[in-house]
Amino acid sequence: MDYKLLLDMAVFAGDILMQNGAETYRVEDTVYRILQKSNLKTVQVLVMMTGFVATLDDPTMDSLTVVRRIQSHGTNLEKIDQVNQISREFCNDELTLEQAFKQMKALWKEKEPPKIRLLAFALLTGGFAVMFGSNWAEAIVAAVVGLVGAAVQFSCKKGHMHMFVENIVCSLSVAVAIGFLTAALPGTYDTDLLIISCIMPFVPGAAITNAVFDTLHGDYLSGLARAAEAFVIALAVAIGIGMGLFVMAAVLGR
Amino acid sequence: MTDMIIQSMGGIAAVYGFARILGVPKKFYVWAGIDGGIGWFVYLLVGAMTHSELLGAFFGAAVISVGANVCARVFKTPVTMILIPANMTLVPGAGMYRIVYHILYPEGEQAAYYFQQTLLMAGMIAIAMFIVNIIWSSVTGSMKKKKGLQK
Repeated sequence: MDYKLLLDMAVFAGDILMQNGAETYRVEDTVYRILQKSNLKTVQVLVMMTGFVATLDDPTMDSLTVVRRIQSHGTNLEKIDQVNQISREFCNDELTLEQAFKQMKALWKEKEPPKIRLLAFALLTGGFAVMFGSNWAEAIVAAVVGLVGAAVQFSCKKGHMHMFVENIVCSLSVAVAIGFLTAALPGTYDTDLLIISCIMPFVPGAAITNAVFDTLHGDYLSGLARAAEAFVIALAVAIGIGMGLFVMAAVLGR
Repeated sequence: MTDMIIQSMGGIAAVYGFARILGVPKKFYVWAGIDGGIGWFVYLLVGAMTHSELLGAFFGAAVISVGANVCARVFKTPVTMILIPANMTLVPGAGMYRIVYHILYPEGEQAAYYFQQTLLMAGMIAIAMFIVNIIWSSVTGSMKKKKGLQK
């Protein structure tokens, strides 16, 4: 078996998983299982949120070690599922090493441009409004504001804006949109409820869930790092809402 | 009761949309949605019965975790695939907004109260996930041993 190729494949797998928001435990487990297929004496994997190290060693050969620094963190669960699929098939001997390596590398190379997801955002914010007990008119306003949120987030992603600024801009524009829509439309609306439903897409839900999972599996460093990530995102969203409320008070007088 | 069911329907729609944004594979959209909707229903129900938002969040998160674990087992996919979107129903976004609102428009100790409440909510959800996952993995682990499937 080509150990170098195996290690490269495992590193690609780990890299994709880390960049798309898998839990630390899953990254470690996947890389470990792939490397175990070598049947060498020593297989070690250490994953932290900002990077990872993997080593293969045996008395009969020099040890192989790879270090990879992970710069970007997003959430794209589809890629995690695909990596999971490939490594599962490889470990069950349904794929040869070369096939698995090719598939993994293709997956790693493929950089999707950001997509605009208008319908999903509208469904999300409208759904949350209903969930928090709004009436139909409020749900429709929330869905419309969701479209604004989708468009703003899309353009921020296109412009490669910093995550922190992106979250501020998104929640600010959502809050301002709500202020103007509720002022322009007839009838009275529960502004609090609308804002709460419409900031939901930007709230750090994935980071909180992953922080819990990492801590649960004993990856305390990653757990703390994710909790810090969640706090930073929450802070950005909070600043955005605060600015939005300020604009509402200054321009619309409420 | 009807209100609760309508609200839970809203939850299903919301999680369905969120699953799309997170890039969950298509076949899991509906399952994640249903999981989140049931979780929100339990949250409302327990909250109404015990008059405690925190207990509601605890049981809601527990139910969501069980559902996500079942789905993960059936579809052979990572738990987080279902859990991250479904959990969004309980993530305290409302608390975050109220903290900011009361910092900008101070009213007594309201901001501090909501800060504490939000942290407690997040903690409750975390504890529920902890307990369910530990019990789940020990139960399924022992099942594997019995069948001799352990590698």
